[in-house]
Amino acid sequence: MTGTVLYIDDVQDNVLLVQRLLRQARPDIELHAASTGADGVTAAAGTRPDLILLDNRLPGTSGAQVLRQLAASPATAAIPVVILSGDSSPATARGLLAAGAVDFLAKPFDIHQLLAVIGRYLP
Amino acid sequence: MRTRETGSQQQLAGPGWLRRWWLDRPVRVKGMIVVAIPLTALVAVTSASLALQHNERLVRRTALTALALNTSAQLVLADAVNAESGMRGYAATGDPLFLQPYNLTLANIADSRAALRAAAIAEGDSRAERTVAATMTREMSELAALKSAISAGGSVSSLVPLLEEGKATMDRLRGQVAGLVQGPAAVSAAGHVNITRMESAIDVLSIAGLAVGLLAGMTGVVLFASGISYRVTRAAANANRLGQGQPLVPVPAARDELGQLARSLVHTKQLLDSRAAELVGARDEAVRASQAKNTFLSSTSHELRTPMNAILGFTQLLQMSNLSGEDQDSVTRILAAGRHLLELINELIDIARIESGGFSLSVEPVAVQPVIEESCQLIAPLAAGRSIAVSQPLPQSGLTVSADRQRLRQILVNLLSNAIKYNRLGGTVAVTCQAPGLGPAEVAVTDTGPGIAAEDLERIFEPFERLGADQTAVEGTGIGLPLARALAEAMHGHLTAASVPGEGTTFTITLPRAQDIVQAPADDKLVPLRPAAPGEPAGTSLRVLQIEDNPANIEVVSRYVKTRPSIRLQSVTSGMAGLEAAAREAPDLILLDMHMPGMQGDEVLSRLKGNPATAGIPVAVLSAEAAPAVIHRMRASGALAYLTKPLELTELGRLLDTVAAGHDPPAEPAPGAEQP
Repeated sequence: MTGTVLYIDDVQDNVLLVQRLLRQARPDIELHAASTGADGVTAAAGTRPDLILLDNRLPGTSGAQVLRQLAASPATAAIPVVILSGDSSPATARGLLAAGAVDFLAKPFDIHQLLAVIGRYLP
Repeated sequence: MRTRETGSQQQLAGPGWLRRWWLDRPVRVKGMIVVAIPLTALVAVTSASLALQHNERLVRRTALTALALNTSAQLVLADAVNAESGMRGYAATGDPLFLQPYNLTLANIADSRAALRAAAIAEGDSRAERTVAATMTREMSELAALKSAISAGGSVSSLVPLLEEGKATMDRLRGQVAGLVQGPAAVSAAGHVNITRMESAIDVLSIAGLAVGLLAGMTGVVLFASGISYRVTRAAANANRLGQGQPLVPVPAARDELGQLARSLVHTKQLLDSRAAELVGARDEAVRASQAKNTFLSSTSHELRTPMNAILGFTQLLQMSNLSGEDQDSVTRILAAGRHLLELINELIDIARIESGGFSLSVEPVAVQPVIEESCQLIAPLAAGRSIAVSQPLPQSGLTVSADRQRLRQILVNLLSNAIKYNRLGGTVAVTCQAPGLGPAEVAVTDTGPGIAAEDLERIFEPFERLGADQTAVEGTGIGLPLARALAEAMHGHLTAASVPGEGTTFTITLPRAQDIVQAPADDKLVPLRPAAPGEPAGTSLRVLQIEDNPANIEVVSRYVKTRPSIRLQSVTSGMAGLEAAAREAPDLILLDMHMPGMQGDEVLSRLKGNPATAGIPVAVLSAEAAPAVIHRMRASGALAYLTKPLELTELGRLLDTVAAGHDPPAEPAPGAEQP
């Protein structure tokens, strides 16, 4: 195993898509998934993944809030977070990048682009 | 305002009802009242004075009459005394000279008695006068008898009874005259006193009347004028406040003209306020609607993109697997349709964002020619499929406009694909660009399609207005042109259409020219790069980090780098990711884009230079911005080189060679190193 990726998204199709994509293209990566922000923050602190993929819209919370929670905890502050957002507006992208996200991909994302971004942190 | 109001209360002091009554009089009545008060005072004083004068005249006349009676009675008495004295002398001496007074009296007696009679009649005391006249007549006859006796030479003793009788008559006359004169003399004396008193009363009255009249008049005029002018001033102030939308100052209610004016101001204010309230309501409604629309858009965007993610994602997964030929084709078609749907969604969201003002552009100087070339390349397969020849302007046009490069390309691609889709088979599409004089730049796309009737030329810019194209096989979203026009306008340009039916249509994009595109001065040129000698190995194992958000630019660099196996390229799409990667990887060279979401190139550069771990890494800035000031600033901040976009690959090659060879950059500038 090269590393682990935590994907926080409440849409099961998306999780399944990334799971199958990684199984096919990056079998060396182990994927963990969480469907809420709170679960995601807990899982991140527990498993210390190498990379977090974060949906911008989660039930009851926002990507920015989750980003802040991750940054506030020493256990997770150093983990790079890539935003996968349904809202592609430049303002949203700027806000999240300013809040500490390392990258921003608009949904629907191109799977090759996603692989490239993951590959940057897990070569 | 407070003190002036108090002043008004004082001006209008008095019982409440009087003030009320005064306020309610029309202004002209107020004016008449103000004039009438002093006039009345003057008239009253003048009448009193006249009445006094009349009385004085009466008294004066009574006194004069009394005086005349007195005088005439004294004259009669004097005549009688003179005559009697003369007669006594004559009796004593016999000298006829003593008869002179008697004769004189005899001559005057008629006149004296007539005067006394007239005075007595005027005085109204004719009875006493008659007594006096009778006594006088008797005296005179006695004197006449005495004279006759003397003349006859009678003895003294014979004369004595006559003389005594005359003396007694004389004494009676004296008493009667004194009685006659007594009343009028008193009246005359009293009248004199009265007249003096009345004269001084008239003087006092005249002066006092004049003073009162003047004072009342002036006071009235001052009060009237200041009251009116105060209220007019206040009405004017209220009108002014009305104009400025401030609350009105309360004004005492009154039924006169000024009160009506104040009331109508209040009514106007109420009307304006209710209108304003309606407007505020309407605006709030509109703002709420706009917010609702934005929220709807945002959630719709998310809701639509979520399933699209699964559709496109799983389809791509399928495409990666080993499918049979027909299945592979099906998957490709699903993917194409999915991408078309995504494009439609994106265009809809773009239009809605532009309309609601939540649209952001990154406007910078953009060379038009390369954008046209890129756009033509993108639609080349579509043109080839319909055997349509696309002609481009000559590459020498160095026209630069102020635009968002990606959006300009979006407009051009849209116009080009329309020109191909709505063209005849084997037709042509011509792209031209020009900038007449110093005016804006014009980029035109002309097709040889059926053209559009003049009355329909504006309709094509309405959303979902496809002019019957729904019945044809031409596919389209129906919002491409509205979006293209909205984008052009958002970049301070225009998009217009002109057509000759049967011959074709020309769409013209007008954009402001970028004025700051000038050649950088020689000492600001970027660090020159040694040209790679032919056949020389271009360095070994050079690790390059590209920080760039534009996929097209990433693609360009990565394609070029593939031709040089010794270079390992890594790309990140944001400044933050770039900083991390730079610190982690310590690459040999960083290619830095200027305009990125989140963190701009300037900041990335200063952070790289500020971190000891990355400060030594050479940084080359790649930017569409060619303003000398920017180049100078980036060089001053520590950039090794500044390459302008669109990237000249030979320049990039020389840069890579220089860094790979570990050469210090020579001092003289390389020609054309920052030419677009």
